[in-house]
Amino acid sequence: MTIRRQYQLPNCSLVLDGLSIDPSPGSEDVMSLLVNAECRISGLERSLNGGYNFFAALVRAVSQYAQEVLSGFAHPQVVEGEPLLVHINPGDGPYHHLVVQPEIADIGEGGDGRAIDIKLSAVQLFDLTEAVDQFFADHQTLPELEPALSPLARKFVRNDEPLSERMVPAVLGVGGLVAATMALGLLPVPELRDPTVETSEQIESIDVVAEGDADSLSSGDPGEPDDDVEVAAVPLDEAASEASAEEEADEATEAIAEESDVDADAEETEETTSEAEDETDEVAELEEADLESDSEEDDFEEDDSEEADEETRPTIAAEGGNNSVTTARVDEEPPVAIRGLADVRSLNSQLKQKIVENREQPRFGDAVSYRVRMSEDGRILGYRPIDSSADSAVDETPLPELVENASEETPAVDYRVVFTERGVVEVGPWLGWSYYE
Amino acid sequence: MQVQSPPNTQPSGPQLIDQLSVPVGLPSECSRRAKTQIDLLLLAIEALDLGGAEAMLASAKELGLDEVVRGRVNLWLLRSSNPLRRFSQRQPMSLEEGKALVLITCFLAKRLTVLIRQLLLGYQQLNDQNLSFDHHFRLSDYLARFRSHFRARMNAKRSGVIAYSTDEKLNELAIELLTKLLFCTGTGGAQRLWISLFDGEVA
Repeated sequence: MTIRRQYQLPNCSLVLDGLSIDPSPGSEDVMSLLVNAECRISGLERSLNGGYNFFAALVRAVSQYAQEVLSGFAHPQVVEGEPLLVHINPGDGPYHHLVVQPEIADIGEGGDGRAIDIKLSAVQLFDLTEAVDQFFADHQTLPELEPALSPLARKFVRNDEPLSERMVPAVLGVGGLVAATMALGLLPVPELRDPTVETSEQIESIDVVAEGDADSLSSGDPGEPDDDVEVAAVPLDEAASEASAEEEADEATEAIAEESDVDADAEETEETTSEAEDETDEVAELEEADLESDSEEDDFEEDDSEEADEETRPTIAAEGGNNSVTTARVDEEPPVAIRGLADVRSLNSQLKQKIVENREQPRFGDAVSYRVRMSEDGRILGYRPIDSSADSAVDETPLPELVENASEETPAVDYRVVFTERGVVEVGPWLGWSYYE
Repeated sequence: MQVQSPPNTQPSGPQLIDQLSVPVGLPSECSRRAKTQIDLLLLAIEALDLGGAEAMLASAKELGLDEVVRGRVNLWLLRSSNPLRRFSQRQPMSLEEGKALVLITCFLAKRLTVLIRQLLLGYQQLNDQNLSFDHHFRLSDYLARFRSHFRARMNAKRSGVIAYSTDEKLNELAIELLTKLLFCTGTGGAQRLWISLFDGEVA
């Protein structure tokens, strides 16, 4: 009994003519012998025709090449040792080349003994793949031909990942361990620490790192901890990670909110910019004079800071626009420092929340950092820009408006606040989390 | 006894997940590359469809996968296992979870088939005529949205992300993902995508 099967897509169709040679019930509709396979591709005047060898080679090449498109790794398109009769190669831009050897298929009269090279666009290639997949899904036609999908073995994969990318986890892993060891060694003698140097790397990226998992490795270098080590370490510490699961979820929600916040704000920016600009302009004018005197005072303070005595300690006064006083003073530890991890952590999130809630809109542009002092009752006592760009950007932040007065002896702790280039506010203890752990 | 109709079993989520086979030698969890790929494909879907993020949750329910992908936070955590992410969670992604995200990706890609084909056709025409993307409104819209999503969510300090620091590189990536999404729309799309995630991961 002759059977015809067609698999038609907008840009490609496969037409199979064959026979059923098994007359037993249930099998009489199965095409088990292929007489002719025709492959029509839109835009091509003539169709490709061939027998079983052509069709088997075609479906194999197409199926393997589709995997190549998805993963980016080249798949072998023939069984090892067999001739390459049908092959697909990537071309320029959106194109691919279907190359068919003339001995197994013909394209009508045009055959000149050379390989047939058909240029396929991405959409044409997909339609060919889909026709082939529909054929595979049809178990009534040449059931012995199967897609044979399997992941490419390691030996076939040329590692495209740049060496640097592969090295980074290893280097960080070792580096993190060294850093952690050193940090532990330093703990008993904290007075040896040089906060300006050491803590610069210890900012936590807005608390998203799960604290339960923040083992010594990651606290050694929270900036970019080693993924592999981290993954391996988590299961060992399951109890801890479970305990922190809830916390993690909370943080996740916060971060989602942050993310969508950024998105939404980015879309709204255009509308709100003009208003916000008017307001910040006014503030800027008011404070211009102060900023000029700032830099001189800064220099003076720096010379003085080493022999810091009672007089230069912050009395933390920020009366109406008198920011120069406040900003110049937060450059040493608070007279009465808060040391408890729980307090430091809670103030950390209060500070972040306060800044986020009081900003006009997220601040975009180059990242700027400030040292900010928080009192135990959650008031911002003062702040200091880290560099000149932070100094000039200060009125783009809500910091000047948030400073409150307090007595000199108010217990307080200093934080590093970073306004990142994407408008995210990051807060971490000035001395780093490991200092309190 | 001759059975005339298939037994009455309730089609459920786990069955759908089981349609994706696990070839011998697969690692016990999704690799870094798998986690990155899945998240980037979902990012491309979000760039195609403004309601993409909501659609992911809705389709998890529709496909009966809500036991594996349990709501917004869980979906976010799963996607954040992409090591390129700004807030990367560095947590493992199980094979079950990977499968569920692959099924969701393919389900959404199928819905967007027409648009995906239009954009790729547009890209092809622009390429043929040596024209810039600006000549195709819908395509340049997709590219711009993809670039902004990518830049907002990926950690610019990672070398894997630095490679995409220019608009051109990001456009290339967006087109590449669009092509992959087209292949996800097919009959064998989910199985093909799933298997492709483990290329180079088996012995």
